[in-house]
Amino acid sequence: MADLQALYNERVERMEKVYNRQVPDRVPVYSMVDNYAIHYSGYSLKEIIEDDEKHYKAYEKIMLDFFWDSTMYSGITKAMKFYNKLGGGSFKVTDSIQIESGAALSMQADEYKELAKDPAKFFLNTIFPRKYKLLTENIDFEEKYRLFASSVDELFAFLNLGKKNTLRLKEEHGIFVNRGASMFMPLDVILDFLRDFQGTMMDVRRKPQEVAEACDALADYLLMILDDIYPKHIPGHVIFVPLHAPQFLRPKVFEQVYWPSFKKMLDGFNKRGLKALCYFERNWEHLYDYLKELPKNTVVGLFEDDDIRKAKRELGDVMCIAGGMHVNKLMYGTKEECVDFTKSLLDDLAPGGGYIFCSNLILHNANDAKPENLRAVNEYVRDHGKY
Amino acid sequence: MEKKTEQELLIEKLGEEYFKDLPEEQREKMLRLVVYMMVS
Repeated sequence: MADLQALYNERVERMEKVYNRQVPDRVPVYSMVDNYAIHYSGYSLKEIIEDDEKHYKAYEKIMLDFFWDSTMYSGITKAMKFYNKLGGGSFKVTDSIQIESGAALSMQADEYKELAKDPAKFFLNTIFPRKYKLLTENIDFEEKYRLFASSVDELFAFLNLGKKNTLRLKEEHGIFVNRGASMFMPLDVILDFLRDFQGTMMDVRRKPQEVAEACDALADYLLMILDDIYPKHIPGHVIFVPLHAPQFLRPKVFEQVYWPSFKKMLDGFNKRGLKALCYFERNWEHLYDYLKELPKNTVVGLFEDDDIRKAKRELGDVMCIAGGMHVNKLMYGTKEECVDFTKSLLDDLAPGGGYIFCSNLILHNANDAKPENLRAVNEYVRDHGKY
Repeated sequence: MEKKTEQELLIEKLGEEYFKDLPEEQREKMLRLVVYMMVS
Protein backbone atom coordinates (compact mmCIF):
# COMPACT_ATOMS: atom_id res chain seq x y z
CA MET A 1 0.00 0.00 0.00
CA ALA A 2 2.82 2.38 0.94
CA ASP A 3 4.51 1.50 -2.37
CA LEU A 4 1.33 2.28 -4.30
CA GLN A 5 1.01 5.64 -2.54
CA ALA A 6 4.66 6.41 -3.35
CA LEU A 7 4.09 5.43 -7.00
CA TYR A 8 1.01 7.64 -7.14
CA ASN A 9 2.86 10.58 -5.58
CA GLU A 10 5.73 10.17 -8.02
CA ARG A 11 3.28 10.31 -10.93
CA VAL A 12 1.55 13.40 -9.53
CA GLU A 13 4.88 15.16 -9.12
CA ARG A 14 5.95 14.23 -12.68
CA MET A 15 2.77 15.69 -14.14
CA GLU A 16 2.82 18.85 -12.01
CA LYS A 17 6.39 19.59 -13.03
CA VAL A 18 5.70 19.21 -16.70
CA TYR A 19 2.59 21.45 -16.55
CA ASN A 20 4.89 24.17 -15.24
CA ARG A 21 7.22 23.58 -18.22
CA GLN A 22 9.93 22.22 -15.97
CA VAL A 23 12.07 19.17 -16.64
CA PRO A 24 10.68 16.11 -14.85
CA ASP A 25 12.63 12.88 -14.37
CA ARG A 26 11.08 11.43 -17.53
CA VAL A 27 8.71 12.42 -20.33
CA PRO A 28 5.27 11.51 -18.97
CA VAL A 29 3.16 8.98 -20.87
CA TYR A 30 -0.42 10.14 -20.82
CA SER A 31 -3.63 8.34 -21.68
CA MET A 32 -6.40 9.95 -23.71
CA VAL A 33 -8.11 6.55 -23.88
CA ASP A 34 -11.85 6.95 -23.51
CA ASN A 35 -14.40 4.49 -24.98
CA TYR A 36 -11.57 2.49 -26.62
CA ALA A 37 -11.04 1.02 -23.13
CA ILE A 38 -14.50 -0.55 -23.30
CA HIS A 39 -13.93 -2.16 -26.71
CA TYR A 40 -10.49 -3.37 -25.64
CA SER A 41 -11.97 -5.01 -22.55
CA GLY A 42 -14.53 -6.89 -24.64
CA TYR A 43 -17.61 -5.15 -23.26
CA SER A 44 -20.08 -2.96 -25.09
CA LEU A 45 -20.83 0.62 -24.15
CA LYS A 46 -24.45 -0.23 -23.36
CA GLU A 47 -23.28 -3.09 -21.13
CA ILE A 48 -21.01 -0.95 -18.99
CA ILE A 49 -23.62 1.80 -18.63
CA GLU A 50 -25.80 -0.83 -16.92
CA ASP A 51 -23.08 -2.53 -14.85
CA ASP A 52 -20.86 -0.42 -12.58
CA GLU A 53 -18.34 -3.21 -11.94
CA LYS A 54 -17.83 -3.89 -15.66
CA HIS A 55 -17.52 -0.11 -16.08
CA TYR A 56 -14.64 -0.04 -13.60
CA LYS A 57 -13.04 -3.21 -14.96
CA ALA A 58 -12.92 -1.81 -18.50
CA TYR A 59 -11.01 1.31 -17.48
CA GLU A 60 -8.87 -0.66 -15.04
CA LYS A 61 -7.82 -3.16 -17.72
CA ILE A 62 -6.60 -0.53 -20.17
CA MET A 63 -4.52 1.03 -17.40
CA LEU A 64 -2.99 -2.27 -16.29
CA ASP A 65 -2.29 -3.79 -19.72
CA PHE A 66 -0.33 -0.75 -20.94
CA PHE A 67 2.21 1.56 -19.39
CA TRP A 68 0.91 5.02 -18.40
CA ASP A 69 1.85 7.76 -15.96
CA SER A 70 -1.59 9.28 -15.82
CA THR A 71 -4.98 9.22 -17.51
CA MET A 72 -7.85 11.55 -18.27
CA TYR A 73 -10.49 8.86 -17.86
CA SER A 74 -11.69 6.51 -15.13
CA GLY A 75 -15.01 5.90 -16.86
CA ILE A 76 -17.42 7.31 -19.42
CA THR A 77 -17.96 11.04 -19.37
CA LYS A 78 -21.69 11.51 -19.83
CA ALA A 79 -24.45 10.73 -17.33
CA MET A 80 -26.54 8.91 -19.92
CA LYS A 81 -29.13 7.51 -17.47
CA PHE A 82 -29.74 11.04 -16.17
CA TYR A 83 -30.41 12.37 -19.67
CA ASN A 84 -32.49 9.33 -20.59
CA LYS A 85 -34.74 9.77 -17.56
CA LEU A 86 -35.19 13.44 -18.39
CA GLY A 87 -36.07 12.36 -21.91
CA GLY A 88 -33.52 14.21 -24.01
CA GLY A 89 -30.08 15.79 -24.10
CA SER A 90 -27.53 16.10 -26.87
CA PHE A 91 -25.81 12.71 -26.77
CA LYS A 92 -26.41 9.34 -28.36
CA VAL A 93 -24.89 5.98 -27.53
CA THR A 94 -23.49 3.95 -30.42
CA ASP A 95 -19.97 2.50 -30.33
CA SER A 96 -19.05 5.61 -28.38
CA ILE A 97 -20.88 8.57 -26.87
CA GLN A 98 -21.21 11.35 -29.42
CA ILE A 99 -23.20 14.54 -29.82
CA GLU A 100 -26.24 13.68 -31.90
CA SER A 101 -26.50 15.74 -35.05
CA GLY A 102 -29.40 18.18 -34.76
CA ALA A 103 -30.11 17.38 -31.10
CA ALA A 104 -28.27 20.49 -29.94
CA LEU A 105 -30.65 22.93 -31.63
CA SER A 106 -32.68 24.23 -28.72
CA MET A 107 -32.23 28.00 -29.00
CA GLN A 108 -33.50 30.48 -31.58
CA ALA A 109 -31.25 33.01 -33.31
CA ASP A 110 -33.09 35.94 -31.73
CA GLU A 111 -32.57 34.77 -28.13
CA TYR A 112 -28.96 35.84 -27.51
CA LYS A 113 -29.96 38.88 -25.46
CA GLU A 114 -32.09 36.71 -23.21
CA LEU A 115 -29.19 34.28 -22.80
CA ALA A 116 -26.82 37.15 -21.97
CA LYS A 117 -29.22 38.62 -19.42
CA ASP A 118 -29.26 35.56 -17.15
CA PRO A 119 -27.81 32.28 -18.53
CA ALA A 120 -29.06 30.04 -15.69
CA LYS A 121 -32.60 31.41 -15.87
CA PHE A 122 -32.63 31.18 -19.65
CA PHE A 123 -31.51 27.55 -19.53
CA LEU A 124 -34.08 26.61 -16.92
CA ASN A 125 -37.11 28.35 -18.35
CA THR A 126 -36.49 28.45 -22.10
CA ILE A 127 -34.03 25.74 -23.10
CA PHE A 128 -34.82 22.82 -20.80
CA PRO A 129 -38.51 22.47 -21.73
CA ARG A 130 -37.38 22.22 -25.37
CA LYS A 131 -34.61 19.76 -24.55
CA TYR A 132 -36.28 17.38 -22.10
CA LYS A 133 -39.62 15.68 -22.69
CA LEU A 134 -40.25 15.19 -18.97
CA LEU A 135 -40.64 18.93 -18.46
CA THR A 136 -43.49 19.26 -20.95
CA GLU A 137 -45.33 16.06 -20.07
CA ASN A 138 -48.95 16.57 -19.15
CA ILE A 139 -48.78 15.04 -15.65
CA ASP A 140 -49.41 16.54 -12.25
CA PHE A 141 -46.64 18.45 -10.52
CA GLU A 142 -46.00 15.91 -7.76
CA GLU A 143 -45.53 13.10 -10.26
CA LYS A 144 -43.26 15.29 -12.37
CA TYR A 145 -41.20 16.12 -9.31
CA ARG A 146 -40.91 12.42 -8.40
CA LEU A 147 -39.57 11.63 -11.90
CA PHE A 148 -37.28 14.65 -11.85
CA ALA A 149 -35.82 13.64 -8.46
CA SER A 150 -35.36 10.12 -9.79
CA SER A 151 -33.30 11.50 -12.72
CA VAL A 152 -31.21 13.50 -10.22
CA ASP A 153 -30.55 10.20 -8.39
CA GLU A 154 -28.99 8.96 -11.64
CA LEU A 155 -26.86 12.09 -11.98
CA PHE A 156 -25.37 11.72 -8.51
CA ALA A 157 -24.96 7.95 -8.93
CA PHE A 158 -22.93 8.72 -12.06
CA LEU A 159 -20.81 11.43 -10.42
CA ASN A 160 -20.17 9.23 -7.40
CA LEU A 161 -19.20 6.29 -9.59
CA GLY A 162 -16.59 8.46 -11.32
CA LYS A 163 -15.12 9.45 -7.95
CA LYS A 164 -15.21 5.87 -6.71
CA ASN A 165 -13.48 4.53 -9.84
CA THR A 166 -10.79 7.20 -9.59
CA LEU A 167 -10.19 6.30 -5.93
CA ARG A 168 -10.12 2.55 -6.66
CA LEU A 169 -7.54 3.02 -9.42
CA LYS A 170 -5.43 5.02 -6.97
CA GLU A 171 -5.76 2.67 -4.00
CA GLU A 172 -5.63 -0.66 -5.85
CA HIS A 173 -2.94 0.23 -8.42
CA GLY A 174 -1.39 3.67 -7.73
CA ILE A 175 -2.94 4.91 -10.98
CA PHE A 176 -3.29 8.67 -11.29
CA VAL A 177 -6.47 10.03 -12.92
CA ASN A 178 -5.65 13.68 -13.39
CA ARG A 179 -8.99 15.17 -14.39
CA GLY A 180 -10.16 17.58 -11.70
CA ALA A 181 -13.11 18.90 -13.72
CA SER A 182 -14.34 19.43 -17.28
CA MET A 183 -15.46 22.72 -18.71
CA PHE A 184 -16.63 23.97 -22.10
CA MET A 185 -15.78 27.44 -23.31
CA PRO A 186 -18.72 29.80 -23.90
CA LEU A 187 -19.05 29.61 -27.69
CA ASP A 188 -18.63 25.83 -27.50
CA VAL A 189 -21.60 25.68 -25.13
CA ILE A 190 -23.60 27.54 -27.80
CA LEU A 191 -22.27 25.32 -30.60
CA ASP A 192 -22.63 21.97 -28.85
CA PHE A 193 -25.77 22.45 -26.78
CA LEU A 194 -27.82 25.42 -27.99
CA ARG A 195 -27.54 26.42 -31.64
CA ASP A 196 -25.88 23.46 -33.34
CA PHE A 197 -23.30 23.91 -36.12
CA GLN A 198 -25.35 25.58 -38.82
CA GLY A 199 -27.04 28.02 -36.45
CA THR A 200 -23.81 28.99 -34.68
CA MET A 201 -21.88 29.58 -37.90
CA MET A 202 -24.71 31.74 -39.24
CA ASP A 203 -24.95 33.74 -35.99
CA VAL A 204 -21.22 34.53 -35.75
CA ARG A 205 -21.43 36.10 -39.21
CA ARG A 206 -24.77 37.86 -38.86
CA LYS A 207 -24.72 39.03 -35.24
CA PRO A 208 -21.17 38.74 -33.85
CA GLN A 209 -21.69 41.41 -31.21
CA GLU A 210 -24.73 39.69 -29.72
CA VAL A 211 -22.92 36.34 -29.74
CA ALA A 212 -19.86 37.88 -28.05
CA GLU A 213 -22.01 39.49 -25.35
CA ALA A 214 -23.75 36.19 -24.64
CA CYS A 215 -20.33 34.48 -24.47
CA ASP A 216 -19.15 37.07 -21.97
CA ALA A 217 -22.16 36.38 -19.73
CA LEU A 218 -21.62 32.64 -20.13
CA ALA A 219 -17.98 33.05 -19.04
CA ASP A 220 -19.13 34.58 -15.74
CA TYR A 221 -21.68 31.80 -15.32
CA LEU A 222 -19.13 29.05 -16.05
CA LEU A 223 -16.55 30.52 -13.69
CA MET A 224 -19.19 30.59 -10.96
CA ILE A 225 -19.91 26.89 -11.60
CA LEU A 226 -16.18 26.19 -11.50
CA ASP A 227 -15.95 27.90 -8.11
CA ASP A 228 -18.63 25.46 -6.94
CA ILE A 229 -17.15 22.26 -8.34
CA TYR A 230 -13.37 22.80 -8.49
CA PRO A 231 -12.36 25.92 -6.61
CA LYS A 232 -8.68 25.14 -5.97
CA HIS A 233 -5.85 23.51 -7.87
CA ILE A 234 -5.11 19.98 -6.73
CA PRO A 235 -1.47 19.11 -7.55
CA GLY A 236 -1.16 17.18 -10.79
CA HIS A 237 -4.78 17.75 -11.78
CA VAL A 238 -6.21 19.65 -14.74
CA ILE A 239 -9.55 20.90 -15.98
CA PHE A 240 -10.33 19.25 -19.30
CA VAL A 241 -11.31 21.87 -21.87
CA PRO A 242 -12.25 20.52 -25.32
CA LEU A 243 -12.24 23.36 -27.87
CA HIS A 244 -14.61 22.86 -30.76
CA ALA A 245 -15.63 26.04 -32.57
CA PRO A 246 -12.32 27.79 -33.44
CA GLN A 247 -11.35 25.21 -36.08
CA PHE A 248 -14.22 26.65 -38.13
CA LEU A 249 -13.51 30.35 -37.49
CA ARG A 250 -11.31 32.76 -39.44
CA PRO A 251 -8.95 34.81 -37.21
CA LYS A 252 -11.06 37.98 -37.54
CA VAL A 253 -14.21 36.17 -36.40
CA PHE A 254 -12.28 34.28 -33.71
CA GLU A 255 -11.02 37.60 -32.33
CA GLN A 256 -14.51 39.03 -32.19
CA VAL A 257 -16.64 36.16 -30.90
CA TYR A 258 -14.43 33.49 -29.32
CA TRP A 259 -11.26 35.04 -28.00
CA PRO A 260 -12.62 37.58 -25.44
CA SER A 261 -14.58 35.03 -23.38
CA PHE A 262 -11.94 32.31 -23.91
CA LYS A 263 -9.27 34.68 -22.57
CA LYS A 264 -11.54 35.71 -19.72
CA MET A 265 -12.01 32.07 -18.74
CA LEU A 266 -8.29 31.23 -18.92
CA ASP A 267 -7.38 34.39 -17.00
CA GLY A 268 -9.97 33.28 -14.43
CA PHE A 269 -8.29 29.87 -14.21
CA ASN A 270 -4.91 31.54 -13.78
CA LYS A 271 -6.22 33.84 -11.05
CA ARG A 272 -7.44 30.77 -9.15
CA GLY A 273 -4.15 28.90 -9.74
CA LEU A 274 -5.92 26.25 -11.87
CA LYS A 275 -4.46 24.31 -14.79
CA ALA A 276 -6.37 23.52 -17.99
CA LEU A 277 -5.72 20.76 -20.47
CA CYS A 278 -6.94 22.47 -23.63
CA TYR A 279 -7.74 20.02 -26.39
CA PHE A 280 -7.09 22.10 -29.50
CA GLU A 281 -9.20 20.28 -32.06
CA ARG A 282 -7.99 20.18 -35.68
CA ASN A 283 -5.48 22.90 -36.62
CA TRP A 284 -4.84 26.11 -34.65
CA GLU A 285 -1.73 27.40 -36.38
CA HIS A 286 -3.58 30.44 -37.74
CA LEU A 287 -4.41 31.42 -34.14
CA TYR A 288 -0.99 31.15 -32.46
CA ASP A 289 -0.65 34.95 -32.10
CA TYR A 290 -3.64 34.83 -29.75
CA LEU A 291 -2.50 31.75 -27.86
CA LYS A 292 0.81 33.50 -27.09
CA GLU A 293 -1.20 35.95 -24.97
CA LEU A 294 -2.61 33.24 -22.69
CA PRO A 295 -1.35 33.24 -19.08
CA LYS A 296 1.88 31.30 -18.65
CA ASN A 297 1.85 27.82 -17.12
CA THR A 298 -1.95 27.68 -17.02
CA VAL A 299 -2.49 25.60 -20.15
CA VAL A 300 -1.43 22.16 -21.27
CA GLY A 301 -1.99 22.32 -25.03
CA LEU A 302 -2.95 19.02 -26.61
CA PHE A 303 -2.82 19.53 -30.37
CA GLU A 304 -4.70 17.36 -32.84
CA ASP A 305 -3.53 18.27 -36.33
CA ASP A 306 -0.91 20.98 -35.77
CA ASP A 307 2.75 20.45 -36.57
CA ILE A 308 3.61 19.74 -32.94
CA ARG A 309 7.25 20.71 -33.34
CA LYS A 310 6.20 24.13 -34.59
CA ALA A 311 3.63 24.35 -31.77
CA LYS A 312 6.39 23.77 -29.21
CA ARG A 313 8.71 26.30 -30.88
CA GLU A 314 6.00 28.96 -31.04
CA LEU A 315 4.07 28.30 -27.85
CA GLY A 316 6.50 26.43 -25.61
CA ASP A 317 7.26 29.60 -23.64
CA VAL A 318 3.62 29.85 -22.64
CA MET A 319 2.26 26.35 -22.25
CA CYS A 320 3.21 22.73 -21.82
CA ILE A 321 2.73 20.83 -25.10
CA ALA A 322 1.06 17.41 -25.32
CA GLY A 323 0.31 14.97 -28.11
CA GLY A 324 2.28 14.04 -31.21
CA MET A 325 1.54 10.32 -31.45
CA HIS A 326 -0.68 10.11 -34.50
CA VAL A 327 -3.59 7.77 -34.06
CA ASN A 328 -3.59 6.79 -37.74
CA LYS A 329 0.00 5.62 -37.27
CA LEU A 330 -1.06 3.60 -34.22
CA MET A 331 -3.77 1.96 -36.29
CA TYR A 332 -2.17 1.50 -39.70
CA GLY A 333 1.59 1.54 -39.00
CA THR A 334 3.82 -1.35 -38.06
CA LYS A 335 5.28 -1.60 -34.57
CA GLU A 336 8.69 -0.57 -35.91
CA GLU A 337 7.28 2.46 -37.71
CA CYS A 338 5.45 3.53 -34.54
CA VAL A 339 8.59 3.21 -32.42
CA ASP A 340 10.67 5.16 -34.97
CA PHE A 341 8.01 7.87 -35.00
CA THR A 342 8.08 8.00 -31.18
CA LYS A 343 11.87 8.23 -31.10
CA SER A 344 11.73 11.21 -33.42
CA LEU A 345 9.12 12.89 -31.20
CA LEU A 346 11.34 12.44 -28.14
CA ASP A 347 14.40 13.72 -29.98
CA ASP A 348 12.62 16.91 -31.04
CA LEU A 349 10.20 17.61 -28.20
CA ALA A 350 11.67 16.29 -24.97
CA PRO A 351 14.64 18.71 -24.67
CA GLY A 352 13.91 21.43 -22.14
CA GLY A 353 10.91 19.64 -20.62
CA GLY A 354 7.32 20.85 -20.95
CA TYR A 355 6.29 17.92 -23.15
CA ILE A 356 3.79 15.12 -22.49
CA PHE A 357 3.71 12.11 -24.77
CA CYS A 358 0.20 11.02 -25.79
CA SER A 359 -2.00 10.34 -28.79
CA ASN A 360 -3.08 13.35 -30.85
CA LEU A 361 -6.72 12.26 -30.58
CA ILE A 362 -8.96 10.79 -27.92
CA LEU A 363 -9.21 7.03 -28.48
CA HIS A 364 -12.90 6.21 -28.79
CA ASN A 365 -13.47 3.32 -31.14
CA ALA A 366 -12.11 -0.21 -31.33
CA ASN A 367 -10.17 0.57 -34.51
CA ASP A 368 -8.44 3.70 -33.18
CA ALA A 369 -5.18 1.90 -32.36
CA LYS A 370 -3.60 -1.54 -32.63
CA PRO A 371 -2.93 -2.62 -29.02
CA GLU A 372 0.57 -3.88 -29.88
CA ASN A 373 1.51 -0.47 -31.31
CA LEU A 374 0.11 1.40 -28.33
CA ARG A 375 2.00 -0.89 -25.96
CA ALA A 376 5.27 -0.50 -27.90
CA VAL A 377 5.27 3.31 -28.06
CA ASN A 378 4.36 3.76 -24.39
CA GLU A 379 7.07 1.37 -23.28
CA TYR A 380 9.57 3.08 -25.56
CA VAL A 381 8.93 6.42 -23.84
CA ARG A 382 9.07 4.77 -20.41
CA ASP A 383 12.47 3.26 -21.24
CA HIS A 384 14.03 6.01 -23.36
CA GLY A 385 12.31 9.19 -22.21
CA LYS A 386 14.48 9.76 -19.15
CA TYR A 387 16.20 13.12 -18.70
CA MET B 1 -44.10 39.65 -8.15
CA GLU B 2 -43.37 37.43 -11.15
CA LYS B 3 -45.05 34.03 -11.03
CA LYS B 4 -42.61 31.11 -10.78
CA THR B 5 -42.39 28.72 -13.72
CA GLU B 6 -42.89 24.99 -13.26
CA GLN B 7 -39.15 24.42 -13.77
CA GLU B 8 -38.34 26.95 -11.06
CA LEU B 9 -40.79 25.20 -8.75
CA LEU B 10 -39.16 21.82 -9.49
CA ILE B 11 -35.73 23.20 -8.61
CA GLU B 12 -37.10 24.87 -5.50
CA LYS B 13 -38.70 21.63 -4.34
CA LEU B 14 -35.48 19.75 -5.07
CA GLY B 15 -33.70 22.13 -2.72
CA GLU B 16 -36.36 21.78 -0.02
CA GLU B 17 -36.67 17.99 -0.18
CA TYR B 18 -33.80 16.30 -2.03
CA PHE B 19 -31.05 18.43 -0.51
CA LYS B 20 -32.88 19.25 2.71
CA ASP B 21 -30.07 17.97 4.94
CA LEU B 22 -27.42 20.20 3.40
CA PRO B 23 -26.47 23.65 4.69
CA GLU B 24 -27.93 26.50 2.62
CA GLU B 25 -24.73 27.33 0.74
CA GLN B 26 -24.09 23.70 -0.19
CA ARG B 27 -27.71 23.27 -1.25
CA GLU B 28 -27.44 26.24 -3.62
CA LYS B 29 -24.28 24.75 -5.11
CA MET B 30 -26.00 21.43 -5.71
CA LEU B 31 -28.94 23.11 -7.42
CA ARG B 32 -26.60 25.08 -9.67
CA LEU B 33 -24.78 21.84 -10.50
CA VAL B 34 -28.03 20.11 -11.51
CA VAL B 35 -28.94 23.01 -13.82
CA TYR B 36 -25.42 23.11 -15.28
CA MET B 37 -25.44 19.37 -15.96
CA MET B 38 -28.76 19.72 -17.76
CA VAL B 39 -27.25 22.19 -20.26
CA SER B 40 -25.70 19.17 -22.04
